[in-house]
Amino acid sequence: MEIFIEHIVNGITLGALYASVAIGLTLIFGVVRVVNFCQGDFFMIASYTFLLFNAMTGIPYPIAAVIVIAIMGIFGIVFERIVVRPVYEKPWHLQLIATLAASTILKEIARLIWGSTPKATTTPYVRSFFEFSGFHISHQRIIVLVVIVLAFWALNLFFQKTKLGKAVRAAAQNKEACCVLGINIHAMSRVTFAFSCALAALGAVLVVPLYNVYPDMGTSLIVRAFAAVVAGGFGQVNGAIIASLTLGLVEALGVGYVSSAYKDAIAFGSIILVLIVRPQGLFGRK
Amino acid sequence: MMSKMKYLYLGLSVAVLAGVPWAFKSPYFIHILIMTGLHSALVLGYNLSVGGVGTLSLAHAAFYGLGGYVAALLTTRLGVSFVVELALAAIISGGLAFLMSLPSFRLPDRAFAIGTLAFALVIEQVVHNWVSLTRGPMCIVPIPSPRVTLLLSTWEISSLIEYYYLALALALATFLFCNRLANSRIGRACAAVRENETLARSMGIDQLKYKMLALVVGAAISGIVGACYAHYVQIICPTDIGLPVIINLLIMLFIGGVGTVRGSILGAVVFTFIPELLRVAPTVRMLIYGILLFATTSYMTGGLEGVVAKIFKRDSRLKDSPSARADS
Repeated sequence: MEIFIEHIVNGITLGALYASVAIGLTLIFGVVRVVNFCQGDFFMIASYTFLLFNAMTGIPYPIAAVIVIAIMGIFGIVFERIVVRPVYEKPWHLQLIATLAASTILKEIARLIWGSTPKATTTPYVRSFFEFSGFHISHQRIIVLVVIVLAFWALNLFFQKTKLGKAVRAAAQNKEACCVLGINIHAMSRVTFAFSCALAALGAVLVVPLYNVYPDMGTSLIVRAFAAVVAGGFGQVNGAIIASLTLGLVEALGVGYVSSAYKDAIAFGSIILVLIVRPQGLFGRK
Repeated sequence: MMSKMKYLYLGLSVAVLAGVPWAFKSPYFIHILIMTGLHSALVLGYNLSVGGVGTLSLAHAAFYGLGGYVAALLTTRLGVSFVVELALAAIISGGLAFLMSLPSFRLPDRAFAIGTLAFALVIEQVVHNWVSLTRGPMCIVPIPSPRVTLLLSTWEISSLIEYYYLALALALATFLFCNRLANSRIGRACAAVRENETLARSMGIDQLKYKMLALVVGAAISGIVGACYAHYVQIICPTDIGLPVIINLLIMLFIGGVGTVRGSILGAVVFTFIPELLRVAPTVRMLIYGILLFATTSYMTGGLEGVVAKIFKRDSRLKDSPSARADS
């Protein structure tokens, strides 16, 4: 029973990690109509940046986290300007290949700077445990759960209530009408990228102390995020969250009780299965 | 059909290419030429679906690697002859492409790309984990030289020059096949589907049939190329299936110019020669490839073929290539 609960907590942490990438992916697809292969690499870059700041003595964990999230927000704007703007008017397959190429570039730059060997970092909260009738959960995992729930709630509030959030949703629905009403489409695309990058950074600063960082981590992340986005329906934020959490749980339980060899195949296989059965996604509308 | 002048050019270039290994004795140079030949055939096959009917499949690298594994397993376990191997590699790769295409073509364009990518990654995982059959990450090595049995005499392809002629024959056969196809009834139907699917359907063209045909034929070709590649380098690994191979394929196709036979060959030549000429470290190589691919998609969508066509003012074909249409 204790082991089962630990698997569940692991699964939710994994799911939160996937959701932080999948939400950005589905947002960018919804607003800019670009399939962004770099989303996993945003997470990777954010992780390495966090490693950098966390290694500096004197910067407490929450401040390092906020600095990294702010830096990644700016990184998102720069990325949009350099990579997405040149292909904004091009056909979809060129956009897809441009981000795929950018993903390779980011990966190789990371490999040149930080090397291929996995690196790890830690926070004071990883080694302290919450104990309850026989099972242990590290404080870091509790922080992940609490912050992620707050972040999802704030995200929904942002899109439902604020003027900027409404403008982003409008840009996702009808670009021509936005232009008529004086909403700057390019500004919305910048906001979306900044937001998606910051979200990946939030996931990174929360989860990275529990896992390793290596240049290729983006690839396995992006495939799982694709699985979540396909299952949740393209452009559906809440669908992506639910699908990510489900995928995290399935993977944690699968590794715990079956085998870890085919855990990648579970994610890829589920993409194919969902696409065959319900091409518009489990939560998507036609 | 090709004009008489074109036959003359073709005959001349084949004669020049056939003489190359006798003029340049450097084994290293011949090795690069062999890789160029294999890459040309591979990209030509890939171009059938991406440039021909306009479907972006990201599973092509899997069929290539699969062809390699089929050949490797058949020779090391059963020892069948080379011709049978090639036929089986083509049938298995093509058959799997057919199975994949059944559900995939129900998907809209972007989802199709992602679905096929997922398919390729599942195949990579299976090859990686099915250790009892494929030896997994330990790779299949060594793969013996292929034997061709004609009537009573057996000929073993083992020297570098013999491999060169094999690669040349393969590239030439694929070139003639693709060229003939592009100017045939089937090729014109494919172009119609690529340019305007709705209009093509209203003209009575079964678009699904041509999309599937292009995908399956391309996969069969890449299976054959994969089999030859595995024999040549004598080793096949799960990494020959994964994402880096897909990116390499896209680079060759897009640097050369999508949609034209000439562009595909140009891309393969440039892709194989540039890193060798620059003599860069393998760590920097992927970075350069990434930058090249990004630069072509963002700033040079016609590829090198587009640049060449512009210089010679023969851009009639460029107008047909899907990359030149910015409004789709």
